[in-house]
Amino acid sequence: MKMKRRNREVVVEELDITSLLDILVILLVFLLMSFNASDLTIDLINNLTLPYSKSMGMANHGVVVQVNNKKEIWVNKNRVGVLSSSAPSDVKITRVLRKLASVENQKIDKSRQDEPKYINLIFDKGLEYQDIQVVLHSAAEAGFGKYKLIVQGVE
Amino acid sequence: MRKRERKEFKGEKLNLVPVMDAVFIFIFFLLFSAQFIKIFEIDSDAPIVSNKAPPVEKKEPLNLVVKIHEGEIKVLVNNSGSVHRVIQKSNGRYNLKRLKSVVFNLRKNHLDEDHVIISPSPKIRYETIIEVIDAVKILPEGKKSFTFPYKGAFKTINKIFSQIVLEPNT
Repeated sequence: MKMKRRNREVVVEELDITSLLDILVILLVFLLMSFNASDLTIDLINNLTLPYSKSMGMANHGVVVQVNNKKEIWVNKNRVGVLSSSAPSDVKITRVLRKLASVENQKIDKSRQDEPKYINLIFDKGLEYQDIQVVLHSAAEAGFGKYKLIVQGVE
Repeated sequence: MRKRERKEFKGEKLNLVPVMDAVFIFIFFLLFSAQFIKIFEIDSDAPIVSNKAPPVEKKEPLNLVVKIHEGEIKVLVNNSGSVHRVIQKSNGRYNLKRLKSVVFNLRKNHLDEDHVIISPSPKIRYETIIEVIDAVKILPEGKKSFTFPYKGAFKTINKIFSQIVLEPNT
């Protein structure tokens, strides 16, 4: 017996992507709102809470010093030591920062090498000025005469 | 009478594939550059030590110094360091509104001066220092700029004092 082979036409139904597009648009708007034009990306160390400020200055890339509430000092993701009143911790910080200052110097023109350089300083909001002063002094000694105090924006 | 022909509008579906590709790339770019903590900076200078004699000026410079003590804030002016105002703490908090109005009035009378020395005591918390810096820097009433008559013209300021110098309180 001869059987006729049926030609089945395959109909591809189009996927409804309207809801997917809705989600994408919402995600896009959310990400655009949280976009920060600053070129400084910071990995905050543990036990560090930034103080709030109404300041709107954009942070820029540079040497980053972080000090948390346990007074641990981190320079560019490297733990340098702990601030203490007894040990001369500022000597070690100055030494590390001097090395970084010389690296920064190599990147810029000779004519601009004497100008004070910028340093990004991130301190825990609970630190006392006597501790901060040690870091500020060390930074100035190393040639970083302009401080950029990193703060958290008020919503 | 002729019957009006009904034209059925057959809209062709838009090809959204390239748009979707672009949106996906954009989302990935934004996801990687997203920082969920909004960080900003406050510019500050290290104090400069100089042996040179200061330049002779006709008008006495303002030389504004804001000293933060544990119980009060002192506003000092001129080279002699004479106390202009003492702002006491009220209910255990610094009266930053009062401080803002004092420094704003000083700035109005000294439009050519743009720096202030912040001098905190050793035990003052960093959070307080930032609050004081905000008070002496950001204009009152949420305004973005103020214009004042200055030497026969006008001068617009965007900040009360924009140059902050941190100096230890001696």
